[in-house]
Amino acid sequence: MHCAAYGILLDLVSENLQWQVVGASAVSGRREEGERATVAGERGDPREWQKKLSGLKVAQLPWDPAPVPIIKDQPTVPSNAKPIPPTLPSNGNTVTSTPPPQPPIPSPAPIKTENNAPSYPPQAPPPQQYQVPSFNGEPMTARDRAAMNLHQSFGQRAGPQIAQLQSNQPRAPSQLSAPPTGPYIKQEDSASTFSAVQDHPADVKPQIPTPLQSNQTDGADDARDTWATEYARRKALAAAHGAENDRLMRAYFEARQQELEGGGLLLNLDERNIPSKSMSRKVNDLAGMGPSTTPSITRVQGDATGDDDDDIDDEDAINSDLDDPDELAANEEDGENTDQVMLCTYDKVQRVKNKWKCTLKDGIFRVDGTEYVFHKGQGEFEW
Amino acid sequence: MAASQQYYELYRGSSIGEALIDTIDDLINDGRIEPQLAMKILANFDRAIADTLAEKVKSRLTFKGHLETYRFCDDVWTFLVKDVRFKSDGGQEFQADKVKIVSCNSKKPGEA
Repeated sequence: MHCAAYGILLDLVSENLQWQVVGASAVSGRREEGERATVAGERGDPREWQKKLSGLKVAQLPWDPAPVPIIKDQPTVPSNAKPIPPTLPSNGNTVTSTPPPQPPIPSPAPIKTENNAPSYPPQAPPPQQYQVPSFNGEPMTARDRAAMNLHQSFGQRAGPQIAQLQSNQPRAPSQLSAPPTGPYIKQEDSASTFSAVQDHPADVKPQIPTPLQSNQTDGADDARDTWATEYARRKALAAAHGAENDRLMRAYFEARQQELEGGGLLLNLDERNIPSKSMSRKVNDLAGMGPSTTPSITRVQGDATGDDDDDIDDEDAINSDLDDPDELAANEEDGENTDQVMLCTYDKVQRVKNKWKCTLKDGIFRVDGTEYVFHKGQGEFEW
Repeated sequence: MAASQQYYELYRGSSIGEALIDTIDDLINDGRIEPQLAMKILANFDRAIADTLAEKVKSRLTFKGHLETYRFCDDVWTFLVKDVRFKSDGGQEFQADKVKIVSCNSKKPGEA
């Protein structure tokens, strides 16, 4: 019973985040449009989240018995077939079959396969008149061949590109007209691809009137710090209960397996079991291996991004003078640090002498590795 | 967050919340989403899970145990209960030697 409820819960939460389409929406989406575009652009996400949840083994999850990739028929997002998010620069040219001599066209344009010209947003260039290229006996230039190829592949929709090709002007990406205020840039050399990453969400969903702009005025680094703090805090909480250790061992073995067969080279790419970065970090710490022996590349970022080491340091650093180690030890003895936690809200807490009565609501709790949910809970304790 | 109603961040500590946080962290480290978006996703998670628990979950639960520690701070009750016997409305029974209960006020500050 509880497991079923938990499955519903997961479905609904996922659905609300636009990561999975499960029937009719029960909770109306009030999120910002641009944000949805970004999340929807990340096609790989639900499975990652689901994989992690399955790894926790707290409930029999809807996708567990048949681990088939979930087919999303979200009509607003093109290129459903691609497991790799279209934001990756590596697949920028895979959609078109343009010949090599074609001048580089920015990748966003060919992705608009489902939206014809009339539904273009205002910022997109209006469909330009172009001359349908035809082979009229004269020797064709590479440009003509490219234009013809485009026309054959995409017909009317390729109009703007062909027109630009014929006018021989480098296409100015419409998004770049906005002043490039500096969003957080992870690595120096990714600066060129970053603008493409930023521009995609707006281009993938052209019907959004106000696409996600990168011109935020608050400091992006602040947000990252906020995230790092939140992550560190959660990690510290999670570290307090030790059920992770079993899974860590399993992940360790899986990591060893990865090494043995060349990191999964013998498998199809989509069948590969790629260990999560956080898990590989933990495994590395556990095994005392250097980062060089793992396929993880997250070490490149240095230490400022919520590394596990940082968490420990932070714990020591914050209020280190005020923290009372005796108190912590006492908590340890009391068993405050248990992974059997109930998170809920209370309506009423009453006490008569040493008898306590609690009326609880909306709880999630974990007992013996199984997670349960309840709507109403009544607890009676003796102190 | 900007919504009129506020939601507890309490449920981020559940399995589903932790899994989400881990996933988002991977995405951030891969440079696939922005940290600002991550915080918004978590805010959405707070709302979604609270609404879902309130609207979709019907099960009831009673439990008894030996109260070891109680604490009331900042409108949050924390109980450490030992030898807990749970009974669900479906007749299912199970027990735990030790459960920590963290409980926020069901009436949020603005509502009362």
